[in-house]
Amino acid sequence: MKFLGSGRTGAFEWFFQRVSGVALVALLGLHFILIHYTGEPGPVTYDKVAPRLASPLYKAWELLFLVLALYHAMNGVKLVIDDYVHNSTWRSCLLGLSWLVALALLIFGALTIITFSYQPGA
Amino acid sequence: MKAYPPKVRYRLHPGYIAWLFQRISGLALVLYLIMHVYVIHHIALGRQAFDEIMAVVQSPLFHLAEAALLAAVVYHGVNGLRVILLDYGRAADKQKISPWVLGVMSLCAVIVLAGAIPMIKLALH
Repeated sequence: MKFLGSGRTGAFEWFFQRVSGVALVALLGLHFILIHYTGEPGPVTYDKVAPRLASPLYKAWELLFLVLALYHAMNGVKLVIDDYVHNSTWRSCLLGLSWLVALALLIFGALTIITFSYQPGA
Repeated sequence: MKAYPPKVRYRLHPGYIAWLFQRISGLALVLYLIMHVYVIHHIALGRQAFDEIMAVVQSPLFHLAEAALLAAVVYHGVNGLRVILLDYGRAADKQKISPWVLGVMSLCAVIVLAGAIPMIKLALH
């Protein structure tokens, strides 16, 4: 067969998809508990979220979460594109697009996390 | 002579359904991730911008959608762990696949139903 879909892609991607997957289960579990089960009940507001996001430890953790989630997501998208898009021009275009989206989200998300500072009061 | 790829027809057995759901939930979660980064970035625009968008995503419709998100994320995570066990835990035995898939689906149903109760309560509020 001429085109093997994702059958020819690397072993590292396969392995790291599993490593990042396990890490994401743990990170997401913590993220979920922290956001839904700690702090006072009621709607989510700036004053509940902002002080937490202003702490460096939380920033580092959220950055790790962002990088792993984006890697895992975009590698998953690549698998799907490789499996279903048999035309090489279309495949290149879609892969390029997924890279652009991933890079844009990485920069956008990382800037949001890194530059954030809490504005109390008002 | 032109070589035709073999026509593969998959039987809808539990392992295949589990794999299909993993792909579909994965693609749905990619879309969610994009939206989530966009929504949360409003926190950098200040108190008013963040509180406004948070009011939108905490409306009844979004609380119902949140239950669907929970279902996607729980399934993707639990089934992902099953697949890893399949590879490393010597569970890649055809006889064992169906019961494991059914086990994963039941476990997810329990977690999602329990987790969706507060979300549906908020939606009906």
